[in-house]
Amino acid sequence: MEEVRRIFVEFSPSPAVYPSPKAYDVAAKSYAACVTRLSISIQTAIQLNPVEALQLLDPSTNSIGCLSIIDTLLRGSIPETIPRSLILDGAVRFLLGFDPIQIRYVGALFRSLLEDLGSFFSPLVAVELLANAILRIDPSGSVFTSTHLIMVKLAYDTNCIEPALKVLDADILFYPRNSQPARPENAKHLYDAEAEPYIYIASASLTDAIKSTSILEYHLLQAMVYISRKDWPKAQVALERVIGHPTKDKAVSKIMVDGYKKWVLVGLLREGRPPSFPSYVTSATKSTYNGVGEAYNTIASLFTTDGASALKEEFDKGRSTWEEDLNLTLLEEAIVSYQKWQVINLRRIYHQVSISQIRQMTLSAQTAETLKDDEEVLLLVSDMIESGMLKGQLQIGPTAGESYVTFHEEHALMTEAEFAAEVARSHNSIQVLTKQYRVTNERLGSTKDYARHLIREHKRMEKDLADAGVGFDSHIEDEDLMTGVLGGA
Amino acid sequence: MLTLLLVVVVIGRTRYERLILIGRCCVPLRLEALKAAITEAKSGSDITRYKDAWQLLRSVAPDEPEAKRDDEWIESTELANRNETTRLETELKGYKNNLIKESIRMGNEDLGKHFESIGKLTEATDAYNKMRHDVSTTKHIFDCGIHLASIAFQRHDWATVLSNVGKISNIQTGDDEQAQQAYTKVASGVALMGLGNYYDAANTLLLTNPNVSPTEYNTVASPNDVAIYGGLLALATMDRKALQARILDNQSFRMFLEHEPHIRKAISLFVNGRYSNCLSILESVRADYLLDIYLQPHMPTIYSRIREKCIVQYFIPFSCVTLDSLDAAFGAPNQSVEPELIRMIRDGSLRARIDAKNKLLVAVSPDPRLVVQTNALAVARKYEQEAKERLRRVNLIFSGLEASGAKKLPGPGVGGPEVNEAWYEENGQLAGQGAEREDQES
Repeated sequence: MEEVRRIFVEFSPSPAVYPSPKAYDVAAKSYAACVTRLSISIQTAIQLNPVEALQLLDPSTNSIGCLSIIDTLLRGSIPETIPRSLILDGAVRFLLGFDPIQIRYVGALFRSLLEDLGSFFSPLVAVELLANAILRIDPSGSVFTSTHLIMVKLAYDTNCIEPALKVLDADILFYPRNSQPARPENAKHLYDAEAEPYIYIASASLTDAIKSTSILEYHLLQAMVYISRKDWPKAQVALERVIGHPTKDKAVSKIMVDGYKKWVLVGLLREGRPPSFPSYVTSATKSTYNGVGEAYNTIASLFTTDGASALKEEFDKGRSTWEEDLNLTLLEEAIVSYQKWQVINLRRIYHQVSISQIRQMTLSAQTAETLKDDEEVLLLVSDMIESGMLKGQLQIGPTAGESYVTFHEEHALMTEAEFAAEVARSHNSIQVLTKQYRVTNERLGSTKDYARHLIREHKRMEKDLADAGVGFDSHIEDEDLMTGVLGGA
Repeated sequence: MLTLLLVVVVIGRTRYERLILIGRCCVPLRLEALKAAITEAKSGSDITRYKDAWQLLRSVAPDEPEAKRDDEWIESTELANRNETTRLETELKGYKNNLIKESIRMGNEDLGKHFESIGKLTEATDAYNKMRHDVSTTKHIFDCGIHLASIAFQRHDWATVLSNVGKISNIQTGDDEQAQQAYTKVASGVALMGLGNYYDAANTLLLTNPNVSPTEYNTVASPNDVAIYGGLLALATMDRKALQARILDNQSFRMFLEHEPHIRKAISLFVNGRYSNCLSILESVRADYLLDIYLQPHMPTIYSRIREKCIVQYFIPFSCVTLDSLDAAFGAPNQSVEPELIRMIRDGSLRARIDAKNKLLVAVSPDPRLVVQTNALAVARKYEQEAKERLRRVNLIFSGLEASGAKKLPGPGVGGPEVNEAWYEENGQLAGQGAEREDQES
């Protein structure tokens, strides 16, 4: 155990001790290399004395060593007298308090720990820990990593959604570039606390290689999570990322098609009408979608009409399709919401309307008939008002039929202060975006492709300059116009 | 009776059609109309027409003397028609052999006229079309166009009417130019109405020159018809200011309106804001207009448009109106205007909401501050979202993570966009490597 202690406390984790950041970097690297390749005897020593080993280091000050110890303990066998919960507690403490900079030196090991969290902990704890770890590594949550996908899969499969939301709600803007090896100049920035997350995440191998399908799958699962929470706007945004994924050679992947089908239905649920494509979806992709999602398009186009019976018929006819696509529940939800949207659309006609009139004017798509009595309509409307779907007010009359609904404006008037705050928020986030655009621009500007493009442009310019010899002052004889100058151009 | 009188003003083959229409649709007048139609048919040589009219009359009044089929006439006419066709065709052949252009043209024209009169419209079109090869003066072109248009009229083929009339509308012939203009205006106005293009139809009809003798265009419509069509369509499509300026203050169209004082009265009532009176006048003549051959299919649309306009105009000065007063102004007895209002609000032609509790129609007056706020925030949000999405896409493509079609296998479905089934394969990496390779090659 003395040997263990000697190895692990050798490194002094505070950067202040070192003469320069460079020296710290060198020390941290050699220390990381040392503790991630422990000899069998050292490993056994740790596993025999788990309590001591856990107390040896503070997770927040020496995260590199701590990770190695915890990893050894979790994967090895420990004496039966020691409760496993002790080690798990140690792991939790470490994961909640690790130092985000030190962890970059042991990225691969840390990633493998995160990947296996689901097998060590109950899903709820695992998701919470994963989400925390992701945000500790990258507080903005704007870089996609392979851990994201692991987390959302675990969260969705085990229905532990709450803890994952803080990661899911963050906008993903960057992707680690995995088609090229980490550049040496990037690797040396590991200790830089100001470095951009997409640089150190890739170079510290805090993420596995990313495939386009991982991204699509992540967003689809993200949408499914929101769908299960009935958060239609967010689900729609996530699905738009799926269907609008940039493609090559007019190809459309199957995930994208699945996403499209769900997107149509979510659009119906969100706005009561077929959604319109985002501007960046190409026409070739659109036509593919329209071809494969015909059944869904029919439903969508019937949704805005009075044809409740046609809608019902179409729904019954395509039942096998919905089941095959695993969209039956979502579709049923849409069918239920048909009448609700009809009620909402009445606000364009009525200022106040009685419940009995609503009953006569709206049809349920489940039965293709009006609801049986006014009580049912009253219930429906009050549910809608309570859930915030319908902005309005109920005035209960002597009977259900004589109760009235007053429709309110869709958007409430804000005070000037609220409005100013909202505008300031938008302004702020656009400014942040502008900065990120600049960063991206620099990043793109330093690629080989761009340099090659510049050289090509430059050459072309030179050539053009040589050719364009016809200035205003140069004298051309009329006869030469046709032969000399134009011929040369 | 008014309608029968109207029909008398019209000449030519539309006269028969008008009579038949009345015979079909109007119970009190049908006997008279059908008898007149039979006489009309017998005065010509179209056997099919005679048979149609006779059958109608027989089903309506089998005891009338005209209800007996005049087989003698049929046979003799048939024979005469056949002889005439042969004669004209032989003549034409002769002209063709002699290669005299003018005679060929006239021969074709005669043949066309003959076919038209015996009801063979397709053959007539062919013959008239052949005239075009041998035209030598603008007058000839004009004649040819009129013939073709008149056949298209009989077939209710409005697009052809328009194209034929369009061909001749800009021809300058000198003396009788005005007369020709009157014909083209009336013909294209009626055809535009047939196509449901009401505003253009009204505009065209309003330009008809009233000083031209009606004989120039009475194969299509009488001056009364011009007044009715033009007036109704204008009422359905123009606003009050335009109606005042272009109809009531329009000296030339006034002359047409003098034939139809109802229309003039209805328009001036509309302009003066007395909408219910205007509608009741129109309602009183609805039956007559329904018997008009060209107007009939469009009557429901035109009338409902005028009605909608009246309701919208009526409502403009108010911020809220009781439904009862609207019923009083526009509703029929025991019939509320509410369903109609609902439809109009849904179409967007009436900007109002119904307050079913207090029985009110309330004008929509959006709060400008709210509108500005909502729009501003929507724009900001959209900009933000789009900027994020574009940044994301730039980075996606930069990282070589586009969904790619993988390698296209030779087989069915080559060429079109394909759905890539192998979505768990390592496409991302392949795509990335592919991009790299391309880079190196270029």
